[in-house]
Amino acid sequence: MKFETTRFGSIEVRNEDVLIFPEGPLGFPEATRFTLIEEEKSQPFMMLQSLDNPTLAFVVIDPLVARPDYHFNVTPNDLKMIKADDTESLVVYCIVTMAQDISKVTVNLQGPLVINPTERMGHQYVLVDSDYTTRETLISSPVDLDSNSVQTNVEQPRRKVV
Amino acid sequence: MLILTRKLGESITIGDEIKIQVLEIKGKQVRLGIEAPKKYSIHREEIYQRIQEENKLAAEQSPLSLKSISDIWKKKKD
Repeated sequence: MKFETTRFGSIEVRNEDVLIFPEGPLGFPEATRFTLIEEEKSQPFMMLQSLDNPTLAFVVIDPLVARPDYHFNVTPNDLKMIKADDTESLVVYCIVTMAQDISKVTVNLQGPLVINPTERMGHQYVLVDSDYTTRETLISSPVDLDSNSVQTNVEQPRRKVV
Repeated sequence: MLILTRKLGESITIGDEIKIQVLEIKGKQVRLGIEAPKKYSIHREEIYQRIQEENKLAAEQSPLSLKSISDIWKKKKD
């Protein structure tokens, strides 16, 4: 199916690439259909493009790239919302809030987007009892950019969704 | 808005399925116990609102291209 988008023009999206968020991301209940646009040159950032609203797109990132120890608990009821039986195959993305000043770019670790690829359904969870906030810095400080002390993330740990 | 006065230990019910009980009153804080079917998601309002606001801000700030931030990110990783 063809969809109009502000950023990517007219795009062809196969049915299997349409992700349904039945309730929409919080604040966007009318935006229920999305597709994930990945481009090699923009890794690790991806665009979650709304198929209902051409201008609506979220920058998302695999939270483990930002915080290798990122984890949270989900209840069986949480899983029902995306028709999942277990957490094994689930994929998690977090929304990035861009800013002019790169050190002010933040990632929302308190409202992760959890996707069940099998059913192509997604839901934004709200982590209530969590130390993660909606505004975690992504690139800690400008100094880090030139510092050699930054740890390189050699191996990506397994996704922990318990 | 319906306004009810309740004492410690007392409850209100909403429909047949939802019960909210005052468990503790300490200074300016009130602890509430909520019994409701699983189908209802219950949030502290401020967390819910914060995520909503962050989503709106994130949507407004979405750039036309991700390349510039990606380049900085890669530089950081090297």
